[in-house]
Amino acid sequence: MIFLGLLGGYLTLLGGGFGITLLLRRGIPRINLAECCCLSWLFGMGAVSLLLWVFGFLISGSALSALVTLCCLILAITGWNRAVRSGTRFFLPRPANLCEGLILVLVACQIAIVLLLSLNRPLGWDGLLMWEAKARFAFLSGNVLPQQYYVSGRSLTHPEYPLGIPLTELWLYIWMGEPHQFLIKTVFATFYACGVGLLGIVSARLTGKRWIGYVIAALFFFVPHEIVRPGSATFGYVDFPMSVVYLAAVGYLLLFLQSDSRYDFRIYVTALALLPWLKREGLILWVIAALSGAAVLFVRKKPRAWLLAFLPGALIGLAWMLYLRAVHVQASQEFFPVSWRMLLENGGRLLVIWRTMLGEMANPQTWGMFWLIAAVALIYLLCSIRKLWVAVLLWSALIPVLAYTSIYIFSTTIDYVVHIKLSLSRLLMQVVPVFWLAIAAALAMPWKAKMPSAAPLADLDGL
Amino acid sequence: VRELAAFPLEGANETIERPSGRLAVASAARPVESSLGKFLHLALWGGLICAFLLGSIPILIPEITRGRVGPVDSLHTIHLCLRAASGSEGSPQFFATLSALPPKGRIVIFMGEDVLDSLLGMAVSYLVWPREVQIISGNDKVAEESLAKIRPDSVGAVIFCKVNPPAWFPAGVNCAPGVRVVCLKRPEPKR
Repeated sequence: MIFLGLLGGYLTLLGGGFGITLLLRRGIPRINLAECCCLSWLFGMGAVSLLLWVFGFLISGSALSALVTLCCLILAITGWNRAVRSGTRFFLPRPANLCEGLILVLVACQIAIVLLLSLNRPLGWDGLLMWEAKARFAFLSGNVLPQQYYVSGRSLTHPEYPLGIPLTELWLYIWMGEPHQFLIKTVFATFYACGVGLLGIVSARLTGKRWIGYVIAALFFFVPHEIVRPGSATFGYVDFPMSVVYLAAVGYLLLFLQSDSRYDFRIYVTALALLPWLKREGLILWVIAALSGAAVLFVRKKPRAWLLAFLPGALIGLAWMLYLRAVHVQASQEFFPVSWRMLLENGGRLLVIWRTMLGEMANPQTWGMFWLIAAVALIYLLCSIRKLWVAVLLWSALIPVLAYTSIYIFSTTIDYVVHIKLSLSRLLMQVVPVFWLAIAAALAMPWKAKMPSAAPLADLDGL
Repeated sequence: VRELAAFPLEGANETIERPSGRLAVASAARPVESSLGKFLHLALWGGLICAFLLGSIPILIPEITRGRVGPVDSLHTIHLCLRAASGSEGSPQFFATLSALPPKGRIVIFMGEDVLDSLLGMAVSYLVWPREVQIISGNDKVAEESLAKIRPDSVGAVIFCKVNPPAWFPAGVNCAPGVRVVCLKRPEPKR
């Protein structure tokens, strides 16, 4: 029964996300089913968690779950109707040759391994106490995280973190009928599958080479920190899901830049809006991806699209900040408030921070040789920095790293190096998929004569 | 070139606001890569990817083959936390004691400063939801000093996780290795 409930939770969430994806891509004659499923998971997660949060102010218990289920069904039906009416056809990409087929089988095996690894490991410290705990508390309190939580002395669970993932977990708990620490880990394997799918699809579309998409999707598995280290996709942390959403935002912005397609732009906008809803650092990624988008819109002379692009994410971020103020949650004590005085006082830390970061990146047990490959890719791309798409890609990959390292200037921990060592690798994880996009772009350089214009559909048939 | 520029990206209904001239410039401006260049490029990337795989596979294989899936347990992680921190997965008595804590009054949790002791304390705070908690990290002396300052009527229970209660404090129940629960108010009746 519990497995049926889990299935029901997944199907409603995916159904809602599917509807949103179809609505965002309305009017398009052909839709890649694999891409649609990946996006459905991301947008379903966002929609369900936001609906649970917003409606949770008004109702609770089974009425809340029924209302959110109804919304998911309405979204699915509306999206489907619009797709049918506009004559949209779905297609599932098939490997063009034996080599692609083998890589596809390899990727499928990798996803299965990630699922099994998720199930044989416990949720990590953060996975349990910062994310799953909130889902459990909400489930035990009538499907709503009560205000009592914010004054219950559980500041170590970081009440200031947004609720995107905890409320997604809550949704599955509601359908299962009980909080379940074992089955909830399937959520993160699903994020892995979705992330790998998007990485392959975006890489292929961006480079115009299917084989590059396949290769990049298969290689992603071999970064140890993404799969087996604490904080990885198998430990229930939010950093991995956030990296997938960031990949979607940056990837579709690059595709928009390449194709000028409004469908890609809509996906970028929706993924961008989800970033502040996942984790506090999501706001940093939101600013970075929004600035990239602003630059692209400026160059494309589409000022009216700015409001559409940045309003949803800004509203979500603002609503969450107002909510925290209303429930009297204080800012995290881990960092001093950003100020010039603190910047000047602790600016000398930067050298130590960067040295520690380089040491972290060079650790083969954590990253393998990933950062070496990424560095080579960056050198390739730097040679073409005058192209807008290259500049956007470099900006989206490098600026988060700079921003994340700079925040330790404001660390309140006396031994801030320990703070860096504890958390930096997880922050770096959030940009790893975008670095893979950079690697894909570098790999395709000799064939990139067509960039920044779009590869024609004929080249990408089946993607 | 004109055909390429007019080619629908994702479908015939989509209009692309791209003048064909721009594409022509973009295509013509790029020099055709030489075969040697492509060969060197592929050799470099082939080497890098092989080195990457050779470096990562030996790290991944032992991790992948370690452990087993399951059991399908709703408190899977908590049981593992308790086993790591206290040596026991938590007996039925442990869970029964925590669930029967007084509903009113906050629960004061003392936990040692060690990572595993903190894990134990946090696991206990997780399990006593929806009760208000006050988590105090420190050694026996800190616990004694803190208890001396606490107003007993505001506290429902005190839980010591790898911390020894002071001699003058009620002994309470040792419900798991290293976990001692002292109820200061009447516990919830068993259902």
